[in-house]
Amino acid sequence: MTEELLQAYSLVTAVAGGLFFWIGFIIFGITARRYSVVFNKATYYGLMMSAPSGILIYSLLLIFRSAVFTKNPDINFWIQVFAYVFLLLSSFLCLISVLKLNKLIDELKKYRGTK
Amino acid sequence: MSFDAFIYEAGLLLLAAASAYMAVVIKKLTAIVGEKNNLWLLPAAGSAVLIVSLAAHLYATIALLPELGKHIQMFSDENIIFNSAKMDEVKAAVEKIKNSLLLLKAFSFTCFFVSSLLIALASWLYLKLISK
Repeated sequence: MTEELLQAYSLVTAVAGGLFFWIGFIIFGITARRYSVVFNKATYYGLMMSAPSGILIYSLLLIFRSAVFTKNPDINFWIQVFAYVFLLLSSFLCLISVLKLNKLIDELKKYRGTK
Repeated sequence: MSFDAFIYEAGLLLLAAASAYMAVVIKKLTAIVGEKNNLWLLPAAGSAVLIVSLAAHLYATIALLPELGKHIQMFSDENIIFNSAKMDEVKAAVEKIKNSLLLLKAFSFTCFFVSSLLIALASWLYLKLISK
């Protein structure tokens, strides 16, 4: 496989991966929203649905970098850094939202156990 | 290790942790709705695949990139510049490391993609399960 093909393959998988992570956490947010209605408790579904936006921005920045500024290494570098920062922030917020939902489920289970 | 690589690796680690906790949450929620299935294994596997992706990236940044830098520096060594046999050796080594880096990058992003598919599939299947 040539170098260009491998680079293109890596870009496509990175962008598609970012998109699927975004879709996955959005769908999980919809699930959390349903439980917030059932339990009448805050399941932080808003945070869960907005947190993966950074992963989507990461994908968009990777596309932008390869499509627009391929000849300027400095700009390329900073676009990549921003993409990674968005990925980091988004991952952190996704973790926080899942941990909050996990804590809520534990509280509900405890409540059910004492009943 | 460069700071951009560190940010990316920290992001992957947090995403792997989020996926692992998603597995825990799905397992608990599946028990709550009274279903018996192993849907939680999908995000758990996704988390494990992300760790493999992280390991590949770490190996590239910690082992291969410094090795590439060392070999590139050899091009300014007089003992190598004036020795064509050694020069060819260094060129071949640089080419080999570059190819390994490209393959590792492709492998790492393939793992990232597979993991994302597993997470999206698990979320979708769980939503389908509770929508019945």
